[in-house]
Amino acid sequence: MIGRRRVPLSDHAGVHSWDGPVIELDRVSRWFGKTHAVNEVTFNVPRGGVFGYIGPNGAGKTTSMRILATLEIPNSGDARIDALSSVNEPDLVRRRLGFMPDSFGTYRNINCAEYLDFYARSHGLIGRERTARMRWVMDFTGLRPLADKPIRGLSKGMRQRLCLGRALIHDPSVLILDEPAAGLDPRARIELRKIIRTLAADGKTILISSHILTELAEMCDRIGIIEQGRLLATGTVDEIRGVNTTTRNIAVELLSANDEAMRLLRSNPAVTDLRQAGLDLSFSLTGDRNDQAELLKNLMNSGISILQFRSTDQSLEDVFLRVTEGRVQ
Amino acid sequence: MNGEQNTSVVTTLGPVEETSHHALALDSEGDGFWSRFDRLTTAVADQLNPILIKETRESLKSRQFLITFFLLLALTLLWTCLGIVFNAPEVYYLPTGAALLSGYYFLLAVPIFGLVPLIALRSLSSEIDNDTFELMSITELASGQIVRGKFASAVLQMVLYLAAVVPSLAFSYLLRGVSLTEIAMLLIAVFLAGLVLTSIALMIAPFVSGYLGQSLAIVGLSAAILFVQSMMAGICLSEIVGTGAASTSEGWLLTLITVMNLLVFVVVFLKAAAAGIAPVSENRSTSLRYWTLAQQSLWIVTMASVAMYYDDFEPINFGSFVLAAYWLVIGTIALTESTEISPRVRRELPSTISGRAFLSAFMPGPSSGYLFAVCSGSVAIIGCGLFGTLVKNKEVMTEPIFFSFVMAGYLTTYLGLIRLLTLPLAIRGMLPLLAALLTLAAMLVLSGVAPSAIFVVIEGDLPTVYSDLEILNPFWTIMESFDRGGLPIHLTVLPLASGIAITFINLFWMRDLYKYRKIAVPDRVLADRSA
Repeated sequence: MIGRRRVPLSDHAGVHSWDGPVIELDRVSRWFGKTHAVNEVTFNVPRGGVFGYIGPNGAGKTTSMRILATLEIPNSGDARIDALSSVNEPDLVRRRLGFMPDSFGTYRNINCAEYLDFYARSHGLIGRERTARMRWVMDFTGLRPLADKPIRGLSKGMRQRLCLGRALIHDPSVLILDEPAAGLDPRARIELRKIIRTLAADGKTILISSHILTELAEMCDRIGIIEQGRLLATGTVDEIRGVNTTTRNIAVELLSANDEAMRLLRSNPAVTDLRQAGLDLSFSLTGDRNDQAELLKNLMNSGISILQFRSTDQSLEDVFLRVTEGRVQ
Repeated sequence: MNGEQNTSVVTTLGPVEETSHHALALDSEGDGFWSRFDRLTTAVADQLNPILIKETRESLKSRQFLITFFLLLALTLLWTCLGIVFNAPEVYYLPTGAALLSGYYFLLAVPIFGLVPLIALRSLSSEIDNDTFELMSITELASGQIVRGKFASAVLQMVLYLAAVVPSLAFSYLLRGVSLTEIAMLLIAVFLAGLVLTSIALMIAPFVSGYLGQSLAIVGLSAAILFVQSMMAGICLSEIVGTGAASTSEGWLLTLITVMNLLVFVVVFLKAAAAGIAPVSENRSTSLRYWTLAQQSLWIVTMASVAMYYDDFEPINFGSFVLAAYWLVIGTIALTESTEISPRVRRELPSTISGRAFLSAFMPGPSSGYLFAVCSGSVAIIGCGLFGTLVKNKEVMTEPIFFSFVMAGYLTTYLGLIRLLTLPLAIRGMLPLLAALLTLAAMLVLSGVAPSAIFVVIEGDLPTVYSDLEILNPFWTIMESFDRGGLPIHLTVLPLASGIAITFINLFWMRDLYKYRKIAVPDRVLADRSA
């Protein structure tokens, strides 16, 4: 009655992995009543990649993460971890997945070490392997001094660390972190960022959502922007900036005053908002990188001496504001 | 699935320090006795259900457990002192153990099958409400393990409460007037009641969420507990203590039969609880169906044994009646199953012609559930009737085979009608459990009232004697079967005939039974399993 399924150490560690995308959402839709929480979302994350998931509140980030974490069933489409369907093979998916939800409940009368011990046992870790994992997790997350402290006495930052520790206890190859930095003070946020960087450097495949876009830009290989359940853009941070910027802000510094430059720019229909302040010109150019290069070439060929020619980079926040409309469902 | 698979293994993150002792232990690496003892207990604990360990840690630190335990200890001591004082000086030369044991019974009954089931209900439902269940469910714990862990921790609490009373029970034996077998039988009865009520509490826990749901569940369970408390008080204090029942083989035979039947109920309830929390992609029906079949078999054996032991074959008819009621409820619940079968379950579908013919009823789905209830119930009921008719050597009020026709007829008729009535919702997978159970209740009420109403319309007065029209009324018909010379034989085939007709009508809407075909296990899953 009280016996448990024993998981041999070799079996536990030996989850079979493959070399395709580790995280895949394939035309996943999930609706609650008339609300399309997730609408035909498709993206994938290769092994060792860090994917940032951005979107306003209620955009569908948490729902899609919960589908991957085997906690929700999509109405259509499939979510896969390591090519295993989270719908049909939840047990196999759970072996390789660590999930950190945006909010989580804890138990009243147990301390941090007991909490981690429970989850280690629940993942089939026994004996020395469990001991070693618990020690590693407590050291890695800095929870060792708090091992005997009741969970209810922990600060928000420490609770987040504990939750991350719980997600790491079985050494998963995939981490899904839903707003891990929410509500943390700047120091705790920086520490959490370091932890996530270390995990990424160790080869974990990570899907992370956050509202702090600058942090995501630093941590993630790729990002996806979601609003109203639809994935609006996906790619590297640079790709996102480029793909979604049809108008570029260009700043030009001339070596000497030259009316020809102003004439040429005015005659170009792609140029708008042209302004001159001494030798500095600024304008907006509608087009992509190739158009930008073509314009520079034309200016140079006209004999205009140019000291600087640069496009003013858009931050991720700018792209996010541009791409999303701020609507909630 | 079409990418190349390599055989790489997920590596442990960073260098892992290999230590020989438990992370929670102070000094487990030492060679002393306590260090070795610690290592031994750690090794033993590794084999236990994680939920049991977690719940025990929580419970031992909880105020509720400490207060209950020490209150029980104090009240037991107080009752012992009062017993001695009020029975003095007779306590020294007259047997007074029975009087004291009655008090200990009440002190033990309150926590064991009063408090523990309520705590078990709260424990599982609050996990779901407090978002701790989700984190637990994404570990490698199976739903069955979670439920068994909760159940085991409840049993452990029962054992601890018993430990507080054991010295007093021994004291009551020393005072004479009760035997050890009586005490043992009393404890078995108390424990059994605790196990059954706890398993019921765990079964309903997954289906009650939120403040209102939990409050209603607690009120309902409390009412059940009060009912069982009053019933058990009667059984324990009137039928066990001081009656000598515990000294007879007959008493122990009945105890054994009761224990076996109720323990199978416990297993079925726990299986139902596990099904309630299992992911939708899992097969939540097949194992439950096997266990209901096992329960039915045990019940048939029990009734047959009782009939032959007492040379009285009325229990066979009673057994058939219980089977009909049982399958009517089980069948109604099965109608609420989803019509969709996940690919994971489709891998388990029978593929051969004989397998599809005979094993499809064990697969999930409302049609298979209906077919399972109708076939299992009818075969068992008519089998019981046939056995009774062939083996009996005394007259019974209603011939068992004819009574079984009536019972099988009622089962197939009412279950078939419920299915037809709820079919528009069921084929869309939108039939809630409550709606199905309400339909059953409405059907039974109507069947009890309608014949009398028709009689009133025709005759202008309520019926006072059983008429042919009342064959529609299962309640009166069953009472008539056990009384007043039994049922007229010509009436007994009517329910069976209507049952067969309604079952045939139902067979037209069995499309979902063979809608799905067995599919292969994906290569990726096979590769992972073999890794």
